[in-house]
Amino acid sequence: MRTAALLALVCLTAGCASTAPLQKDKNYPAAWPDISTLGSDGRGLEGSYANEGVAVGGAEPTILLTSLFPEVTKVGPSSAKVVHLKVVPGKPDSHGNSQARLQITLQGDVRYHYECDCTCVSGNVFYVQSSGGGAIGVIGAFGQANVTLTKAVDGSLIAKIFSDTAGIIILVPFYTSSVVWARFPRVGD
Amino acid sequence: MLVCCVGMVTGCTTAPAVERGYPAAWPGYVALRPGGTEFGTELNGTYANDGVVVIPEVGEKPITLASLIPPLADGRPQPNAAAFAEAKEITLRVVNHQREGYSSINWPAIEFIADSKDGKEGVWVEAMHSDRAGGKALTYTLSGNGVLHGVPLIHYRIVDHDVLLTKAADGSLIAEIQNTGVGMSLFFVPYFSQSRIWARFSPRPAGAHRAAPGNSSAAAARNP
Repeated sequence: MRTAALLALVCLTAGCASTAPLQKDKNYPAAWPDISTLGSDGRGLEGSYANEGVAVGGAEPTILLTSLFPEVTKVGPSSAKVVHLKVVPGKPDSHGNSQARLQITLQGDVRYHYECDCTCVSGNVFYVQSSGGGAIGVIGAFGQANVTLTKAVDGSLIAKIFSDTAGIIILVPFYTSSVVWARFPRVGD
Repeated sequence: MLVCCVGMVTGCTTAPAVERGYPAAWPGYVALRPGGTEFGTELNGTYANDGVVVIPEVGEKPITLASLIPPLADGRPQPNAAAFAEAKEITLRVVNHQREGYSSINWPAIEFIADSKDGKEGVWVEAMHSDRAGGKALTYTLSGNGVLHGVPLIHYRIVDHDVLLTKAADGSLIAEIQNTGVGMSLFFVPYFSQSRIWARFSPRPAGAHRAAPGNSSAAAARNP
């Protein structure tokens, strides 16, 4: 019982996301342009971006935009060169935030279309990229990865990937988190 | 646990196609060649969107290849579904890809491609190798995806609709559509049900927009 309560507590802390406007932090590369805003309804995201971008804070220096969409959406093929994004905003709440649909089109000789739910909050587009957890014996953990999309002042797409995991090992709670910043150049629409 | 056990035996049928209801009047059933990164590529080709499906005790009915394209992950229709519905023919391309986190393993995927007035529209579907067809086939989930329906402990079930793709001797695309239900009823009575229907789509020379015959003919056969 005590273990279950503890596990529930640490799991509740996993995947907590800030709804504040996206801010540069110490990991944001100094050489990258400043962060802009998408507007309250997220429509400023609309545009075409290179699928291959650069990343800092992760295992690889390059990252594919197609790998950042919600896992369940199964966006492919990853060989696409250009990704077009468009936000279809929903009705805003009293804070100006709204549930919205993110339309994803992989462009090339063949076009592939996808859609997923997202939240337009504080001038950013936010969604859960993946989440999951489990327990085996005396180990239990829950993890989640959230993606926040915005733009840089030069029009490139900026993504902040925040991943965290919380759990317990023999009644000892643990928590880890990581942040990856990614940038995808804007390409001609 | 019981559901898991029943689920584990789901789809373990390896009976020859004819014993699983493959229509005797159709050209011979051809399993896919085993192979690594090339697996399933003999399905590459263009097929008539209008085909036929044989339903037990009913007979042949029309079916479209577009109807075998899965919806979006959340169950909504594909955004380009209209283009596929209107297409006279659909091209299949089997490709290999690497899933995130599984960089050393190649997975097959199927690209469904249709011409539209604005260019080529595609749907990309993750697939898997399968031995369920008594030989190799390429399989994917049409809908269901292991979603639990019903009220736990009272009556619940998992229903999956899977498609297994192979070919016929004349080059037609053969789709075995399996509906599998696994679940438990009141007093923990397990049940398992599986049904299948067979669909066939004629091969078409790429780009030849002509009236789809529904039934394939030997003259329409070609090597993909």
